[in-house]
Amino acid sequence: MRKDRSTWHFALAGFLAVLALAGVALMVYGEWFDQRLVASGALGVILVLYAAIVVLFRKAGLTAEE
Amino acid sequence: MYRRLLLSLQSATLRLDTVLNRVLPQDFNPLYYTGGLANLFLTILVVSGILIFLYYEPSLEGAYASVEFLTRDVPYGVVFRGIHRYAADAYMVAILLHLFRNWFTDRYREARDSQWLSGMFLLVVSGFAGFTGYLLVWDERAQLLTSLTAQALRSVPLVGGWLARVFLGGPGVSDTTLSRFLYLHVGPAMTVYVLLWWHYVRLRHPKIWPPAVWVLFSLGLLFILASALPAASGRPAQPGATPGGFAVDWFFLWPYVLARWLAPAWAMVLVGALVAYGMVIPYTLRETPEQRGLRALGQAVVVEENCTGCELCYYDCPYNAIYMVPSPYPGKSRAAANRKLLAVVVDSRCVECGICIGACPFEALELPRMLEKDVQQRIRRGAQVEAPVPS
Repeated sequence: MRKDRSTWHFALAGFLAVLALAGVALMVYGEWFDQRLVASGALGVILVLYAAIVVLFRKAGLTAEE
Repeated sequence: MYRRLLLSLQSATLRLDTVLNRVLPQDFNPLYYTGGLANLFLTILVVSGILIFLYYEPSLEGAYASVEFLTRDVPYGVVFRGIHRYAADAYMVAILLHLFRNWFTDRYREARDSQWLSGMFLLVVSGFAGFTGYLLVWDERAQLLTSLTAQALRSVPLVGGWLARVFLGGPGVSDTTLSRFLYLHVGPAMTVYVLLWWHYVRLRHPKIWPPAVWVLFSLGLLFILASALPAASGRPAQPGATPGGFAVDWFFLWPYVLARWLAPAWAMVLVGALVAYGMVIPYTLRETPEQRGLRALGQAVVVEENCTGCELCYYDCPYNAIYMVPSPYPGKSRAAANRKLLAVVVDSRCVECGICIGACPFEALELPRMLEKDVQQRIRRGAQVEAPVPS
């Protein structure tokens, strides 16, 4: 049961990491085409996704308590 | 009635903790870091504020134009302005959550009144700094707020005229007024750090920073908000004009909502009464230790001959009531013979909790009205009551 949940957490973290990569692409696009609100919004999304990934890693048992 | 209300709020707060602990790992529960989150937002405010300050021109002609220049022409200026704006709201939310959590979980009485009082001052000073931030933009809203505030200050008996002059930097609105507003914004923001020192001075292990997860999340959220809902000014202030109304920020401008129904003087009295009530909360409904089923145990006392200077009590005391000083003479027990340090209890900070006694493995601390033999006796008495009857 625990293993199943860990797998699910890792899968979700992987999906969020892909989304974060898309965010990086959006950030580059925003900076390149002078759409600065898009770039900064994408940066915000990346930071939120990273926070979610850290939580998922902890829930999956990959990282221990600080 | 009031006591029952507090009890039900306490139970609701603890239930919320349990729910969040199910969703998140326990050390990521944001409710355990409300003070740390407030510090995080304060840091963001200071950094973004310094960047904005570089472009700000405190004059009637230049204030609005400089803010517009920052917003429209400086690369990412609109983002920094938005982050400053939303971090201010988030800071107030974190402070209020911190206040209510400590209120409802009864962590403001007795020795913690110092933290409560400094926290109330922090709330007032931060609220004032936030309010003056709205004036600096010098749009129609700022103009109306200035006029309402000056009117309210003038209505104060005896010193009203003087207060209004101090606020405006002269008899009326002039270039000096914007410089004055800048001082009234930056000055209180600097005072916050002095108040934070007061807030922490009696705490041994304050959580002054949230976990990295919450730093990432908060920064991300601020960037998203600043980009999706960019901070904008209203129409520029017109000299001599009286604007009709303004959009209210409920975190900083709520007293001005009262001005719709009350005369400015009465709105000020109401705000003053609320603040005064906040200040006396730790001293209301105060129960004696006997009423709470506790004994007055007396401040902890160091048994000098047994103290080895190991510092365990020093690190464990949550009230910062134990200091380590160079030992003037060796201890008498074998363990204490070569000590370098000696524990000293600061009586005014000791709350008689007994944590230091639990921390000390050398029997070098005592509560004078509850000696170790009393504890042994209590344990024996309890064991007799609790012991299962053999069948």
